[in-house]
Amino acid sequence: MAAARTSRRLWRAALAAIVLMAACSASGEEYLGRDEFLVLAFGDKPPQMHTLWLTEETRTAAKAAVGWVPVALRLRYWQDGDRTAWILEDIGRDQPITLGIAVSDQRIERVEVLAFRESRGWEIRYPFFTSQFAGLTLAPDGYLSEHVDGITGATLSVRAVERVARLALWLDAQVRS
Amino acid sequence: MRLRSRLVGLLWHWHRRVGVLAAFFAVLLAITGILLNHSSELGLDRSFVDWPWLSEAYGDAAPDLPAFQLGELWLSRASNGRVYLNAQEVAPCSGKLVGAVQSGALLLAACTQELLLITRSGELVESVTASTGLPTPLQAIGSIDSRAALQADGSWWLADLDLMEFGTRAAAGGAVISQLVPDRLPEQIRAKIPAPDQWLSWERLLLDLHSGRLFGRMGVLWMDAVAVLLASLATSGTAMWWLHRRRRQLVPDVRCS
Repeated sequence: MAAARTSRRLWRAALAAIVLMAACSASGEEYLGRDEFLVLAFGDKPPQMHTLWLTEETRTAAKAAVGWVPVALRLRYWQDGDRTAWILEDIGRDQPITLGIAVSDQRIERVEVLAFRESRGWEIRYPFFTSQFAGLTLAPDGYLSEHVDGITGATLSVRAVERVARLALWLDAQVRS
Repeated sequence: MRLRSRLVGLLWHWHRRVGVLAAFFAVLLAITGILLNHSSELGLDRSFVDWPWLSEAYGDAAPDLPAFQLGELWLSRASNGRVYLNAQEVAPCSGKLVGAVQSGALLLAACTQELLLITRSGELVESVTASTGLPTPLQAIGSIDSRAALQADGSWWLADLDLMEFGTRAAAGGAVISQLVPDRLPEQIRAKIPAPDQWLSWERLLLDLHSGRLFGRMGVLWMDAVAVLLASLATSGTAMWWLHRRRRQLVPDVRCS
């Protein structure tokens, strides 16, 4: 009888643990909200949001400079002195990845993955990868000033982050000039 | 000794039951895992599934593509996940297309996880997601006094498309919410939208089978549970082996004494 009772308790505990773990592991694809990113970039009082229209001229210049420009005609950014923050999207393999890039004094200060929708490559959200971008600038050839180590199995996502980082640096220079 | 025997008995009892429960999924995970590891060599990312019923299960409503008519323009979302203005591709949109509305010079296409702002000539002005402040999942879109309003979480929220603010709840009662009813996309437009059978690759299918996403959120939760069961099998198996080994080491000593 005692063994059966113990067994039932164990079974219930295991079931509760499974449900809890499953609920935790199946959390959504949105890692960070806009406001949370802005707090990370600017502290408790983020500046006002600005709008940048990507005219045909700007699009051509961006493509020539960094080789990529988003499809959207309008971008949002935040600026406080020498620091700007951008929320940009690029497609990794099939789905868009939403990234937050903070640039200060023409150097990347922070890269955050706000949302990841692909089934592979989500490792790019971790600091071991994103911290490599800190301090990088835009080289004259349109690439980042230093090499960023990739992640096996996440090549396309890594490339997307690099593209977006390059564009953020270029856009930062445009809005500050 | 008695406690150990009871523990081994209990472990055997559950190990067998959990083993039977997890066996099918362990084999499924192993096979799909091996195939995914070699998907490029096997060409699984370049070959496509030709089962219309499965495409439909993925949300591809190809036989009756829902669309919203805005004047002479039609907004629809094809099975490749992209929104089309008439036959012109605009941009990918996350989730099912739940509505469309005209707001000033812009057309708004609302998918469950994303809102697209589109010009009347089919250019994407901006895309808004939960990461950029959109309340999700969106259930509907409409307009209140010519102002765009979004339904999420059972409430209607007024959309400020300049500031990208969606935090103002529409006044309950009294307001008239205009919504478009989904219609059938005209055949002459549908014929120009790329056929849906070239998007569901075998690799995607295997990935979704491996992760359980093929069966939606519940499938993912179930595969998580299976992963926990497999881990518990490894633990109970190791524990039983260790207890059995201890017993074998102890028994000769008893005999000798």
